Amino acid sequence: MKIWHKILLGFLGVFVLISLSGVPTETYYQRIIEAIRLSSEQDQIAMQMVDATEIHLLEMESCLWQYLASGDPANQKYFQDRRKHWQILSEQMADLLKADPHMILILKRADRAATTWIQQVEPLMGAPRNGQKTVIPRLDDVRVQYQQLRKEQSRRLTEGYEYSVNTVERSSNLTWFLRGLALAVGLFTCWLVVRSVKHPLERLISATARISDGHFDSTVPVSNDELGQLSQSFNAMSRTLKERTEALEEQRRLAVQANVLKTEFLANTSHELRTPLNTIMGYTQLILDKLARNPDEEKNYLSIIQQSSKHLLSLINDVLDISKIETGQMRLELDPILLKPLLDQVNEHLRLPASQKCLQLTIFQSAPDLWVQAHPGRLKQVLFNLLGNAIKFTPHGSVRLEARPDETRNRICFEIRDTGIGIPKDKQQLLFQKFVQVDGSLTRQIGGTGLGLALSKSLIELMGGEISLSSEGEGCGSSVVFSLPKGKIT
Amino acid sequence: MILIVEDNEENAAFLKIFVERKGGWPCAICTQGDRIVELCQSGAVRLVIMDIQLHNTFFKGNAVSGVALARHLKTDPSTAGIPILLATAHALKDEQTHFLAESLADGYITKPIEDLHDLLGEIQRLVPAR
Ligand SMILES: Nc1ncnc2c1ncn2[C@@H]1O[C@H](COP(=O)(O)OP(=O)(O)OP(=O)(O)O)[C@@H](O)[C@H]1O
Ligand SMILES: [Mg+2]
Repeated sequence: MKIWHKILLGFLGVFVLISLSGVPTETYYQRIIEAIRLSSEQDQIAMQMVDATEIHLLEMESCLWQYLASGDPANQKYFQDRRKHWQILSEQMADLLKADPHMILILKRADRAATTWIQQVEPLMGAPRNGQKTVIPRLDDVRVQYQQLRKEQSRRLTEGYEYSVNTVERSSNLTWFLRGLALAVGLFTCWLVVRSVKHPLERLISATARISDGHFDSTVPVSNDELGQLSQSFNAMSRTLKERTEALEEQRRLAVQANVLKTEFLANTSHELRTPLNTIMGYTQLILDKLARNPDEEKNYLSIIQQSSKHLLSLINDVLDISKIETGQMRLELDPILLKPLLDQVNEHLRLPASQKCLQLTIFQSAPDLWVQAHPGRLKQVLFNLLGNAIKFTPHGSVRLEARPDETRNRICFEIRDTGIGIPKDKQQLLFQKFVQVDGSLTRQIGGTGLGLALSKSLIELMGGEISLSSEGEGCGSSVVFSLPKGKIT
Repeated sequence: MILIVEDNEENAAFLKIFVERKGGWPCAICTQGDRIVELCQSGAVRLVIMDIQLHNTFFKGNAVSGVALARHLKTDPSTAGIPILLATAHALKDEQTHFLAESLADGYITKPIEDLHDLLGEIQRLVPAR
């Protein structure tokens, strides 16, 4: 069941209850009307009392007549009796009507008229009959007064009854009207609530669906009520979700990339290790099959085997070095080193490979007594790597190493510059990562494992230096610059 | 004559010595693309042992790999009859099948060559009788 259906149902329940409440209320009203009817009976009693009072007066008159006619003293007594009763009734009536001053006024007037009449006739009751024609005051004036009283009372009776019943009916109608109004207002509020809840909720639902479909930039409009707050946190959530997902995606991409590099590295390393091994096994076979024509030739084979073994060892060492650096186990002892002998050794080693490619190799230092703070073996390794790269990636031209002091920073700068194939700008930042090569394909012209630059960078940093690489682009040659702290001569 | 295309000088040298002295096949070493094609066209070459990774080997001014060079020889009618043995240190099986298909070569040897005598047998098998 949808929320707005529930709300609607709830409101309807309330309306039904309100309407049902009308049933007892209505019975109460009926009872009230009944009560009014009963109370009006009292007024009717008052009415009857008016009649009775008047009857007493009439009886008194007839007593008078009989007395005058017969002279019977019993009539005298009877007259006094009626008079007493009249008095009592009159007082009772006054008591009954005392709430209504208007009625009291009329009653008093009637009373007064009656009393006057009684005072006039009383002496006649006691006087002896002398046979004369006696003038008897007429009761008619008094009766007019009583007539007035009766009329007034009956008017008052109907008016009061009608007024009360009308009032009760009016209030019952008002209640019904108010009930209807409550129903209308309730329905209207219900409609408002549903409207202000339904649309934002629907928008939230569809945005959630969109997010679960992977559209993380879905947002919902924000209103200024509680649903607005919900929408706001929803938008914040979808933003966070988007960022998280992007971050995860980026990490996944990096992991995949690292994995591809590792696979390439494995293939390359296998290739690189197999090449010197091939030489070793080949020449060993020549010796075993006694294919050397003289001892000198055999000695040459053996020295080739030795060289290749050394090359193989250095490859294995490179791989080990990288893993040592990665696990943080590489510690270097740094000493002040005089550069010149070290550079001479490097020159000695690289002269041959350079000359084989007809490259001009220059190693230059701006002063003969430059000292650096470094590990000699590792510095040589770095220079072999960088100059080896320069020679490897330069088909024609020259390779030049220059060492000069940087007095302001108290360092020695090394620059290796070649006229080779250069490095595309977009690859320059990546090459210091291990295994990364501009051309990692299997059929590429130039071998290597892709460890040289990564290893050199780590070694230089371990020796307190820094390294950077630049090239104007493909075909424009490359330049690698690194610096190390100056050595302190002690 | 057997043509050895291999840019690692030491490796090329021991191959030549072994095949010449043990197998009795005269050998030549060459890494210049244009020269290789010329030699093959001359009819003197009876088999080519071709390395895949060639540094500084150019053909018509462009750097080429052994795979491309082999393919060229195999698609040129004047040289298509010459059997080609690919030699490389790439050892993964699917790499090898890929290279074989790409280069149209006749056989494949993996470096390091475990037993050079097997290589002689392979040459014997591939070289067409005259
Ligand atoms: N002087 C250079 N000129 C052009 N490209 C270079 C130069 N130095 C390095 N590179 C590029 O950077 C890549 C990484 O070099 P790096 O020395 O790390 O590995 P490698 O030379 O391929 O293998 P390794 O040195 O481990 O045998 C090279 O493969 C090459 O593409
Ligand atoms: Mg290198």
